[in-house]
Amino acid sequence: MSEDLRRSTPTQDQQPGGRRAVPEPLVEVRNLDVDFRTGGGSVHAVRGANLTIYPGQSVAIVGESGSGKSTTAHAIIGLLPGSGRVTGGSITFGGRELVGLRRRELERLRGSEIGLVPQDPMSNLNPVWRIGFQVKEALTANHLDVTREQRQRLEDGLVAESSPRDDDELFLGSASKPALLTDIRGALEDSGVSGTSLDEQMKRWDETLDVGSVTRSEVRRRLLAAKISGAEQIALGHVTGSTVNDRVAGLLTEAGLPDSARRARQYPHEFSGGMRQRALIAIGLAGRPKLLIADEITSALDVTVQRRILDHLEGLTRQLGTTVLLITHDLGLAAERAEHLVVMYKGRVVESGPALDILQHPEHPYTKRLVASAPSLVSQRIQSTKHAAVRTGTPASGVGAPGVGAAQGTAELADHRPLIEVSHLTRRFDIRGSKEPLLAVDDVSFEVRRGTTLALVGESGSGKSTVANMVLRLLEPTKGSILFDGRDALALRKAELLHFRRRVQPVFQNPYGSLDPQYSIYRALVEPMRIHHVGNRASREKRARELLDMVQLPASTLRRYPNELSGGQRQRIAIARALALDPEVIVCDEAVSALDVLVQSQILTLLNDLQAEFGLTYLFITHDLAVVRQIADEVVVMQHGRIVEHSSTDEVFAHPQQAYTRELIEAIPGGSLHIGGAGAPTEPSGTAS
Amino acid sequence: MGRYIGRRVLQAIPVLLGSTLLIYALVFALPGDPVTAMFGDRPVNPVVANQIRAEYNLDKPFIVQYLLFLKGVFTLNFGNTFSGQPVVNIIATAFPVTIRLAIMAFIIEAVFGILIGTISGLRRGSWFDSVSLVLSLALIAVPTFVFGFVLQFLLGVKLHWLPPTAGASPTFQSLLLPALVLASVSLAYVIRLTRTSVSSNLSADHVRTARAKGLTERRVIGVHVLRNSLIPVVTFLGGDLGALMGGAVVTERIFNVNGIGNALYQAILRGEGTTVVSIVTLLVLIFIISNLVVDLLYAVLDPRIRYV
Repeated sequence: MSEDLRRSTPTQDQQPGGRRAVPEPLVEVRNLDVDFRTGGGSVHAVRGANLTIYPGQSVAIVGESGSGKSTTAHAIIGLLPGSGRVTGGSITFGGRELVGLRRRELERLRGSEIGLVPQDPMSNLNPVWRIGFQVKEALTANHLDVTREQRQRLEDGLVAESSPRDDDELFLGSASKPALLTDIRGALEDSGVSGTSLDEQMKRWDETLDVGSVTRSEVRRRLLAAKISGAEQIALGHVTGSTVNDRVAGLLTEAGLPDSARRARQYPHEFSGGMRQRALIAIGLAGRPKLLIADEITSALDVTVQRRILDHLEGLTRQLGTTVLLITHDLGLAAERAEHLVVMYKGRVVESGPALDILQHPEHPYTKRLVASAPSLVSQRIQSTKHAAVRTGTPASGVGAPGVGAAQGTAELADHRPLIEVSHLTRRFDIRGSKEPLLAVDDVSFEVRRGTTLALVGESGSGKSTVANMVLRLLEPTKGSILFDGRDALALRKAELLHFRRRVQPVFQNPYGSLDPQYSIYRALVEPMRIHHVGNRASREKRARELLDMVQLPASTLRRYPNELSGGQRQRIAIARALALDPEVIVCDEAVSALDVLVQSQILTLLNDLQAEFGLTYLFITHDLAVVRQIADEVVVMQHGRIVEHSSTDEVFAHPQQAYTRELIEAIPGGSLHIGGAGAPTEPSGTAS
Repeated sequence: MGRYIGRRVLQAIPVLLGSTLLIYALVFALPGDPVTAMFGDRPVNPVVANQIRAEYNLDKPFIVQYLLFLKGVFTLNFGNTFSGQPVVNIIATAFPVTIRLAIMAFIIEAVFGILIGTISGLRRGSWFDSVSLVLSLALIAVPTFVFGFVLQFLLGVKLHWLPPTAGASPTFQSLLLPALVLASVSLAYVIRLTRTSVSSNLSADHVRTARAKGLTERRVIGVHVLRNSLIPVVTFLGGDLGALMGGAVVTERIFNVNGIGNALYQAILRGEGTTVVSIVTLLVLIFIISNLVVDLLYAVLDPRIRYV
């Protein structure tokens, strides 16, 4: 990646953000109304929203799903989905009204003036075209392909002959790079550099002069800075424009994709999520838009990848002078990445202002709740107000965390015996077409004590879900043993296994996929009881009502179907179903990852309360350390199928032993921010208990 | 890729053996003695009858007959009909007609199906969409022979626009009507498949990304919607080409097209086991090959598909 991609834009010399005297806003949204027509009338997705973005500023819209944040962003770029229509208000961009603009005019605006980096990297690239083709399209659509550059060069040939302008569009081409390097080498040799020092310097030049990314003026500036003789001539002679493929490679390099020329020939399915997101960033920035809309660009990615991509995007847009509109549900991330926050709730803008102001002095009740429950900002384990019957005094929760008073009295009653003992667990997968088997889980050992929560943390591919599936007896281990309550869980057959399933229940990540859409909630809840022959019709129905009560849903929910419920409600149903058989252990595989922050915090509180009340044991699988801090007593960090760190939650956060763990902790968005006092939430989490 | 094709060809062997054995057994089990039938109303001369039986191997046990037939197939000698004509000749005269008919029907269903389906998918809920949906439903619901006779009567007999039957040496025009009838049901499926595929692709995330790049609507539709939408359609069409090549017994009967379907029908009527099994073997081969081609085509259209 080149150090500096500075291209002068009008916004560059203006100080972003704070300056009061900036006269012309880049984007001004006034009283925006957006409706979606549905079968039974219209849904008002956005109502009277106001938003002002100044050039060079970074603004974030924060809100839960359904708050209208993405709809507002899509209205700006004129890409409202389906039946969405702007029904009132105005959107101006650089003083120009966008509402009611004709399709052709919008097409001209998109890409070159307003860019979009969309949400889900998995579905946002066309699977049948090569990455390079899709980036190239973004260039050609905005007439930034080579022919245009050549035409322009012919038109103002005189300018090209004189010293290069600062904003020239002549990029280094792959064909002329070897000659450029040879000349640099020659100049260096002339000035007396030789041996390893020469090789090292040449290596650096080779790595930093990115084809299709550095411009003539940039090369000249760098050569001059390195005091290379004849810098002017070398730059003029060898940076004579690039092919469109060079530009594609250059854009991908800028977006942080190594080996981009080769990568450009690959298809999206050959890319990981993070790489796809980088390709999408390259596409979004290809037309050098003045405004870039980044719509939840990292919510589908692992935390560490998330951090790297956001860091990169931040640096890149700052160098290019691009104004950024971030859309996110994560308050911590928004506060860390944007100067100005706009909080949306149910289609309305409820609060807006400088990021830190909002974080420290939230005024609207919704913002207050959001600040209180932002997982990245909450620094300790949620304490249940219910009587902690079996709360064990593990070192993790016993020391340091306030509010364990309730538990201390019963600490001696606590059962210290481990309920689940996993030792030397290994799982190999044979990959078709490859001789090398994949070691998904490699010699993993840990214990889960009764009544406590053990969090298994790692990125995708770390093997954590494989461990969960083996503990659930849904997958056979290749080697190793699992003891459940002192008995060999792997030896269980038929009736015993059925009994085991009754005691160990799962809650999965996707609340949309884990409930059968054909089953009413009642049927979903009584199904486990039917299978295990528990009770009769009447007692099962009574139990179903109890379960709904436990997860704080009204009894009327029984007659409803999953598609009538929100994601949070469905996850409550999934928990209720897991509780139906009075299990001792619940394995939560990313159980809150798909949920909005507020809902997430409610579910975590619920899980905590249920643990306190029934002495449940949780094996909690997650990639999000922020969640771990709120629920877990012990943490096992996994990487590449192995355990890299195992310790109490407080210990892991206070003194992480491994570099990988530190990286995970640092990747928590907003982790470095301090609100009000000493980084603790200003009030106990305002969730129901 | 090479290994994949090799494996598929190897897989074809049991399919071919199994299907021919099955057909041979069915023909063998057919009631009535073809040799007796040859004498018609005249009394059967046992000497001549035995001679014929020996000539056509009818006196040997079933499995020997089958193996002898297989041996013939490998030497491209399908044997003779009872009238002494080589079976190969029958296939050679009938097959070109069927190929012409199949190609015509294929072009009709591909061109009109994709065109109508695409317009319907792009303008979902418009009058054009509603009309094409109702018409395609009607085509699927009405049996081919009803549709065939109706068209034959209206366009051929009443209006004299097109010849009502094809006859011995069919012209392009005389094959147009049977081709239309043959294409009708598949046409309806192609319309519906294209429509669903286009309209679901229209709301795909990557289409929004394409629009956000600043591409013109024309290019968005052509490059990002159509290309992706046609993957399932092309797969369907490829499989259908095999089916069309296999001839259409009903359609060829209605319009008196002397194609492979008609030849098969006649052979069944006359109880000519050798001819029936020969034609069916050929059809099975065509199906296996066309399915393999479709599977390979799929990988060309969708880079995510890899064969190992």
